[in-house]
Amino acid sequence: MSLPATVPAGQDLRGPATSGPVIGPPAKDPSHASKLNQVVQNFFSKAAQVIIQSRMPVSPIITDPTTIQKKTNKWFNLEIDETDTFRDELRLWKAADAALVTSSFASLPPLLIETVLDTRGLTANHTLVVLDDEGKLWNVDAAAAAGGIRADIRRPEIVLERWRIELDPRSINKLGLPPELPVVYKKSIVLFRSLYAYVRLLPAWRFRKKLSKAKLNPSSLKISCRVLNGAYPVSSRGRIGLSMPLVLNTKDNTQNHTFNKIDTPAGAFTVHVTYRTNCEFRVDDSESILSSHFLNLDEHSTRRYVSATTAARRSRTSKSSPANSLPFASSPARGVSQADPGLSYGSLSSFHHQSTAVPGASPISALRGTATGTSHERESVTSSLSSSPPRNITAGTRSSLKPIDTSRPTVQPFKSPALSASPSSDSMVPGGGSYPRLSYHRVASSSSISSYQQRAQRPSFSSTYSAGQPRQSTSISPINAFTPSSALAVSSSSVSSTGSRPESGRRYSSSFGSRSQRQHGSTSSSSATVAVQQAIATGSAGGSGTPSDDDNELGEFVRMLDSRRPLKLFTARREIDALAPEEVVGFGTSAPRTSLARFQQLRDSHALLSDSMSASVVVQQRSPVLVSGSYSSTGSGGSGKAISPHTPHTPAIPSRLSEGLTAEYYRDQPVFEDDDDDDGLLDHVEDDGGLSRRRAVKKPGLAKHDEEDELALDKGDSSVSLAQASQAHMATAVTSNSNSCSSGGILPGSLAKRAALRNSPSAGSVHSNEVSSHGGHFGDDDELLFAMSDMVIATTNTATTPTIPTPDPKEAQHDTRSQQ
Amino acid sequence: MYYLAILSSIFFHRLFGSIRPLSPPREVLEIAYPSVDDPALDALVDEKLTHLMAALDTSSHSFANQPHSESTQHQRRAQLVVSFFEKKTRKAWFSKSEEEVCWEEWTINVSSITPRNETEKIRVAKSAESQLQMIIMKIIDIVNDNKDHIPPIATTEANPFPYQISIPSETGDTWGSVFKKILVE
Repeated sequence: MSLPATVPAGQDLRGPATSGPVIGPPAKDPSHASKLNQVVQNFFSKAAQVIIQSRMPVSPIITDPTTIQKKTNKWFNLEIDETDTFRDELRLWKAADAALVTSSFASLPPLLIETVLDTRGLTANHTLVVLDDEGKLWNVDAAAAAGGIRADIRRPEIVLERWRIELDPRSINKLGLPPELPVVYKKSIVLFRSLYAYVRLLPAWRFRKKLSKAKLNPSSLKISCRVLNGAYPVSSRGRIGLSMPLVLNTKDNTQNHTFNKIDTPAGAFTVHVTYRTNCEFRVDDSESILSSHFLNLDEHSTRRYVSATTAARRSRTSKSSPANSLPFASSPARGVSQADPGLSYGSLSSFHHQSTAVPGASPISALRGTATGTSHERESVTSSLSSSPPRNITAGTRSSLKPIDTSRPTVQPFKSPALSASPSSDSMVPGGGSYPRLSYHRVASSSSISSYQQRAQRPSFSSTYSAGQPRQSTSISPINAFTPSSALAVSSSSVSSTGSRPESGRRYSSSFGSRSQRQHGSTSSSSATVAVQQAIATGSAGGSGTPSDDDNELGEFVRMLDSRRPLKLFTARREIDALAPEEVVGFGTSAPRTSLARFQQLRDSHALLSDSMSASVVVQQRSPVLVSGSYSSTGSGGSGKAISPHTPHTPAIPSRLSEGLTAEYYRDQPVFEDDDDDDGLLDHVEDDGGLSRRRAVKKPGLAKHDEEDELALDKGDSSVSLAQASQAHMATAVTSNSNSCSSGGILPGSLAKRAALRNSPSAGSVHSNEVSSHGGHFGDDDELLFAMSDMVIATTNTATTPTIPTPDPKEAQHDTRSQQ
Repeated sequence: MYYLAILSSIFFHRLFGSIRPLSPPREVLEIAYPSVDDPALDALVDEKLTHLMAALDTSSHSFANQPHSESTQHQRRAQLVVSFFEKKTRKAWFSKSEEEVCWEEWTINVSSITPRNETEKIRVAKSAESQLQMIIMKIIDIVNDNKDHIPPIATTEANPFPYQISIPSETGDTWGSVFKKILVE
């Protein structure tokens, strides 16, 4: 067919210089044909480039190494970097011959580009979940299992998008004139602009951005692309394909979009994409998933807590690998969980002790049992999963969970109705009865720590906290898990629980199984308790699955703590009793009446914890004397009189950290003097151990200011100072440890960070940095408590993995430097 | 600012010269919108948006309080018009006159809402975010659906189609009186 040669000269389309087309009048067939080929080839190539470059990092082609000049692809008037990624795969289309296409329909197959989520970096302790539009989490493995994939093997890939770029020769309009190349080019310009913009509006783009933002905790998830030949059918074997729904409560997991076709002499260009609407994947610890799972179940009864939980969950850098979890996360549990896709969160099944099935175990008890094990601090703040129930209920919960597994096909594990429906398969309390209890538990909204701690140990607390709560069943009362909905209660409960239990290490070895055996309620080192509990919470991913393993590891850890703890704890207690008996309320006695006392206890526990940790981790620098000294100052209740005012002389702190701290303290002092009892904090004459304690002293005074501030916003001095003081404990311990390896520069840096809020002690800010780097998001009101719990966890983790503090301070240092 | 996103998108789609997109793209409310990496254009757009804000403030269309509770907001409205022209040379008997024929015009209706309390603020922000996402998608759709009216590209200039951004006032003045001619050659 002869092409019209009457294109006016003015319509010549001269492409840009570098790698653009030069399309003159289509007078000569060969030239025109070659130009058409060029257009076709570049169309495919550029479309692939636009898509691939927006989804994964590519290596640019450097034309001039001296000036690092990148080769630019200016085709279709859109300048992008030229890369040779996927060059081999794209070769087929880059060598397209338009003439062949016209003659043989099969000569140029569609170009398929898939965006996949690479999950090969996930370990067995991780659970992959996806967020839906309402913020609910859906377990990917479970959904895949529900869709027919074998659940024992995690699929290495999840297809997020599939792009289809095609030149369809069948839609050539044979009757009219073929489109002119300049018009084709012009329309392609429009198309590529649209494609470029559209690619960045899809969920996969947002998800990729989120992944790349998590710099501190690089996610184990990766997005990559795959170039496929559309001539062959696409098989999603061995991976989760696009058609596999992962969000089971909506009908449409995917959506389509087609760009308008562009007619060319060789056919019609079409670009089409099918993409997943929910691409918000997260990697969570199995335990946290478990608790969130139950949260979802409870959603209809206490919706607001669920949303709070999801918000809390989101606030975490959830994509990070669970660096905070203790190394005792039990993989065996994972295996078990995988076999139970119905429960999907893996950890849930891991919590199953396939032991006694207590009849009448309610979903609540199941929730309780599992919830306690899954206390990931930030996660569980809103998780109303209360502390583990007494042992029989614990066992019962597991058994009650089992039916959920078996009824997988009929049960939506993430929906409360499913859980309520499951009673049919078990002797669980019917939903009607269970839900009130569930909601009761939800309202408790205790952190996992508190749930742990309150486990059947402190009737006084339960009475205190449940004052406003409807006691709906007797089975609940022994649980003592239900803190009032106020965060204050949470902190108090955690404080009280820390103060109360002398738990031996063994107690924590398994979240659920052994817990039943170990519910002593003695007033041992509270801080150790807190630490251990949190360690268990985070670390024992489905620990009950293999209690023995957990027991051993946890026992070791706790023993380590215990080795030091008794000394400090008892000393402290004595001190406190001596100084302010009325203030040491929560310490093994009945519930503290005041938040001040609670905060004191928390501080004390933290101090103890930090002490234990530093003792366990660092060789030198700790002297128990300081501990007691600090406690005495603490016991003075913020008066600060026990602590000498901050004197501008270098303290006898051997470590570089101390020096840094000292300097910073001096700097900060004036600010602190705005508040009462600030002096106590700044006295760092003693060594690091004492420092942390002294910082803690601030707490009582500030706590006095406004007891509720802890729950209030970060503007509340007391809350901030409380957090800071707590952090100071941890920070001091941790930083002392780390400072032995790192420079004291951290402290100034961390100080700078905290200085924004209030001039907190440097150690406190250091720790806050460290905490942040650990993944906790600090700085928000409600997250204060999380942060505090986080700190404990972090310190716990630090203690157990001494290597962690080393990089963290450097990080904090780096952060603070930038802040400075 | 939302309108910057809209304007940037429009120009991104309609500047037919060879452009370089801003990478990484700008974002508003986590919505990534494409923009041309051209400081001159940015300056122009900024200036126009300033005028727009001024026009909003002096807008005579402030709605009185309406019966329902949340209507105590002061709504201001204005319009932003982006026009694209095609240079046409008209050959008259003795002279050649260059004429610019508008081949596309984008009208953006701008209304600003002042939320009165916290909940409203959140609601407004949410609706603004979803609206913006919709608008940017809509721009893409419009651009894709209507390709036939684009005049042929006759030059290799950076920008073959001159454009104008104008803010017509509501008083019904004629084009000539309120136009600010900003032609980019």
